[in-house]
Amino acid sequence: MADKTVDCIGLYCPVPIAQAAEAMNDVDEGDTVTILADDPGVENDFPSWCRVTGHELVSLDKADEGYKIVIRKRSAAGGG
Amino acid sequence: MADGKKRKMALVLCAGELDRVLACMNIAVGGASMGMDVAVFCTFFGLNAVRKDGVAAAPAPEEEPKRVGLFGARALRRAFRRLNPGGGKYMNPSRFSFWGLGRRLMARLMRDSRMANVDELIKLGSSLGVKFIACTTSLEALGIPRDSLRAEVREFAGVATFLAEAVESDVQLFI
Repeated sequence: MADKTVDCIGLYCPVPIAQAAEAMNDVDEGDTVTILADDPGVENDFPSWCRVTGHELVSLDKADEGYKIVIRKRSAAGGG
Repeated sequence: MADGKKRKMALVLCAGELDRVLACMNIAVGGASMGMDVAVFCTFFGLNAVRKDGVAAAPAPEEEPKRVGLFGARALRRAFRRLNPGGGKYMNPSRFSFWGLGRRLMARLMRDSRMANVDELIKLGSSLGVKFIACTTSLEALGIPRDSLRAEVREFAGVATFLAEAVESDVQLFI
């Protein structure tokens, strides 16, 4: 199972979700994409993004330097 | 989409101020990132957002409006073209414009904190499938030649095109 990591440290909304959407095109269904970001907006944005696109939010962890978000690609999703 | 249906969003960008244009492009990129079909209908000073930087070159004589109108209208149009440069570089914020200093300060602040600028958001939006539509009436009214628009603008249309997009859309915003 492939995993792709997208580094969005230092980047602001809407770039992290745009890069996540682009990354989803590069992986297969069931694969995961990990996003590293430090814009505090992502804490609410990625759950919303997943709800609308249908991708699965595996985890959203907050660390000192930012957030680590893991999303699993789902085929029903039209997002990205 | 989670329910399998492709959602749509129709935006009208009527204003050319930096803050409004940034909000519009931000929403457009966000919508496209969430799998929506996004159309940005640019009209009046919103057209400046999708122009190349600077003062537009004079249109070719055959592109000048056929109905010239009152005496001096051509000179007036020429003066207006000079006073109305396009592109993100010349875009003033709606407040604290300070005769052009405000936009330079904002650009500096945004660049220092690595925020995406108008140019980057338009490119990003376009790569995610955002459609940029230019209002033909406004192009004529403001004397903006088509070749001064960015390559991301691929459609030229009127209100019916916007309304057709809007009735099919789940989100419609006027900015």
